[in-house]
Amino acid sequence: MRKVVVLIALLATLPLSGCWDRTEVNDVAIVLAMAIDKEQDGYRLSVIIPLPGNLGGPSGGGGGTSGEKSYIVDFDTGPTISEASSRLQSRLSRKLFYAHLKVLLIGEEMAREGLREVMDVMGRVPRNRLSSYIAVTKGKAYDVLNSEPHLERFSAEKLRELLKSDVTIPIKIKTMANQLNKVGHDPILPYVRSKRVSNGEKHSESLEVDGFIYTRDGKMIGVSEGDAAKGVRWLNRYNFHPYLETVQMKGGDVSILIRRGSVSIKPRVAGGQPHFDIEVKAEGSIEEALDKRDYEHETNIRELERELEQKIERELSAALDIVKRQKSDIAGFGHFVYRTYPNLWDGWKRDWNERLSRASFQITVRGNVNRTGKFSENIAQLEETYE
Amino acid sequence: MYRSKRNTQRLPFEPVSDNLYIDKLKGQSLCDSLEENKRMLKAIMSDSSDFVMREFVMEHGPKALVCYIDGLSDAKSVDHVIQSLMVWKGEYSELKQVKQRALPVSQLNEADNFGDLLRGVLSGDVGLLVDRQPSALLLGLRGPKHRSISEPETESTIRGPREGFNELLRTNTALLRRRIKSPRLKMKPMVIGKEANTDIVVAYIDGLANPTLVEEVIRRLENIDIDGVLESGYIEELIQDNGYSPFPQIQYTERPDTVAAALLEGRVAILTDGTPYVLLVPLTFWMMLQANEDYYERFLISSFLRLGRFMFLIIALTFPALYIAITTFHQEMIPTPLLLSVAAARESIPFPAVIEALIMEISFEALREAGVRLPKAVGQAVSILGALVVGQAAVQAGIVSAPMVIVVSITGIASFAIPKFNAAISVRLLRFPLMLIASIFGLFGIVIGLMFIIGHLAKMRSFGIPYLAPVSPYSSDDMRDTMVRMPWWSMKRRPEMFGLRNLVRLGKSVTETIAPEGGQTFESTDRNMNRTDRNGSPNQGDDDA
Repeated sequence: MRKVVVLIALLATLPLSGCWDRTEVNDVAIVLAMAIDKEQDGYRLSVIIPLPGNLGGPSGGGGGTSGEKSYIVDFDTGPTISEASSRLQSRLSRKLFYAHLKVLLIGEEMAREGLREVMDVMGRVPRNRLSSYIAVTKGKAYDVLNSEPHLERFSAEKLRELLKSDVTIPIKIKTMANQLNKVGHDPILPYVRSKRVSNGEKHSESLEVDGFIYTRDGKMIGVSEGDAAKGVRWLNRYNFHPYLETVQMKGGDVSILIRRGSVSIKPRVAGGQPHFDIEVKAEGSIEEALDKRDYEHETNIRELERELEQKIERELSAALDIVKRQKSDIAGFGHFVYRTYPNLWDGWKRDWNERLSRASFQITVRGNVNRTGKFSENIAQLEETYE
Repeated sequence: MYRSKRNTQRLPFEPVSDNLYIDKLKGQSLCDSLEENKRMLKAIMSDSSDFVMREFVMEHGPKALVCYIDGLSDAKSVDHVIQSLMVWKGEYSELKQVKQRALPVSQLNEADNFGDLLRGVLSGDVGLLVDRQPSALLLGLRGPKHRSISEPETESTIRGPREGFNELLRTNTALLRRRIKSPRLKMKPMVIGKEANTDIVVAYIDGLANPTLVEEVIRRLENIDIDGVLESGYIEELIQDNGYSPFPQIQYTERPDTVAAALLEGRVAILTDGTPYVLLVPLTFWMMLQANEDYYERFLISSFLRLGRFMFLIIALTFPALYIAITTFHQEMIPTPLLLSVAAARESIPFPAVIEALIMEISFEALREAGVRLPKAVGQAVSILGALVVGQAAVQAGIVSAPMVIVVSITGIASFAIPKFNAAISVRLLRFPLMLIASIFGLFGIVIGLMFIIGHLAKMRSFGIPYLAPVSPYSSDDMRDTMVRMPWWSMKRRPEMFGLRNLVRLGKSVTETIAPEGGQTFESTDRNMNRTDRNGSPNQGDDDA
């Protein structure tokens, strides 16, 4: 009897706690991506929220066919990001839920002001994911968020797929935060913009990830595009993502898919200033050759390889130009110095970015084109040259 | 002794109901006079229309009387016995002669009191009383009419014997004896039930089973004081260790091969008259995931299935609770596309997830229960209603969400995949408290709930054997036949957790010749063939195989 009384008393405490953080799925507004812009009165926080009702529920059939949008983009401003979020919340019937954040977009203006401010709320609030991808947008981040998603249901999904693809280097919030909290590696971030494609009558606008922004002291200072962007890719030795390289040969352009590559950076001290030996090995296959040559012959391949080496060298020089002139440590040269000469680093880290401008670099590139494709020459080539 | 007139003749005891227990009748011995005995029987068996008494005179002897219960004994055989007694021409001086010469019956017992006599007669024996004899003979002429041996319906297998126990104790003991033809197989008879006097047999292999276990089983059975045992379930509940546990602590089966296998592992079987279900003690948690077919199918397949069942057990126990916890507390734990699908499906649902789950689970339980109880013809209607109304219409009407239907269906199927039905029920039962606690505390609650369940399992014992043995306490030898089943040639020893006297199961020769250590290989077939052809001798490989 006594036992039963105790048991009932214990069980009675269960409902006392209530279901204090119980939230049904249809009471949350799942934030898939957020964009942060700098405004006069602080920050503007924009979020994209899918509308489950328009996603094609049990009786709705295929989603999105009704012409109604399957998401909303909403924003509000505030002196802090949390304040903006809470003001936004006061206009939403569902609870903002940031745990499924896929992409964090930062407006260019904001990025130039500084990236460190944004990181505070991302790391402090446990609901925020540090594994979200992060990118900087040309112009206002809000506009990018609000752009039409092609192929995907939400622009957030499209951005996420783009930012983790081979097109760019995938950078997550935690990666960037790790780089920001130490001297010796200034983060780079993918650069996102809307691109207008037009053929005279029709035109469409879509998002494009192209190039990287580079930073100094947690502030964006510029954008690297084209050759420099490819150089940045090489210098950042993350998991190698295949990319296409087009070199000009005498007879025409040849596109080579760089499938594999490795970069070794070895620091030295030369004349009291840092010096880096950069050795790049690139391995690729021919995707398209418009120079009418038969790449069955080794001499042709050697020639192509030399051309490729020069191309990559040009790219690296362009990227290193940024390092020297903009004093941005895009490749983490400081870390190499720290690892090789820890004692030296203690003296150097104080004015590392200044010292970078006096650094010297030695570039060696080894190109290797070891696959010519299914056929070594154009299959429509006239056979008269055959010998 | 009894001088009173016929009508008012006094009996040696009051035939009131209180005195009619078999135990009390045992105190009343039979007397010399057939007339007296007949009157006694009549008084004791008053108002029993199925009780038959037939008086006749033997050729050269005294009067005799047969009595039996109509329907329990084989009337034709009774006629035959009466005939042979009537025409028996031998000199009659004592009962022994009749026994030896005139009764063409193999099973003969003697009873010298009304208790034993009636106990036999009420079980289907035929009582034979002869004048001037203070004892009766019990002729084993029990009627053959009974359900024939058929395939066990609750434990069907793909491979394995198709015989199942039936309701007759004798058939069941015979089925068992057929499998273990050894004098070491002991079958201890007992009677339980003051009114029903049900026959019980405790079967074990002498020299294998732990004698303390056998003693304990018998002690617990002897302590049962109940009016009647109509199914072995009565006994199960009366002798189990932990009365309040939702988990079964005694295994039941209607397969003779399962019982025989258990006996060979040193367990004890309790056979009950009137039910095909035989009890096996002790039981451990892991046995709930084992089927007899595991031992007939090859070991890789059996092990795969066993691991699968373990997974199903976890699914059956926790899946709805996990669904509730994750969708109401931990939305960050599931992939975004899945969350969006769930959100889209739940958009129009009026209930919180836990109510939705309870509605579905309870209607599933109702469907299942209705399916079991209803006659087969109506059962089809139930399944149509269940599939259409509960499944499709409820989703279309927006009362429950499609993911919830999937969760409940998977849970239901997983619970059916647990081979022991009573274990499946206990798991299904525990699902509900887990769902409730998940709806209040989320994953934290599920973990607490599971900890309680595991703690309870770890504490429990079945006839002295820890319920989680051999995982806890750990025994590496016994683990060979727990989560997986190792090949027969590697299970050299019987489970040690039962405290057996003799652990060796496989002889040395078997393990040495068959165990593929050292990679025993046959010579190439071609060469063997050639040699056989030339010598005309059988293939050498056959000996090894």
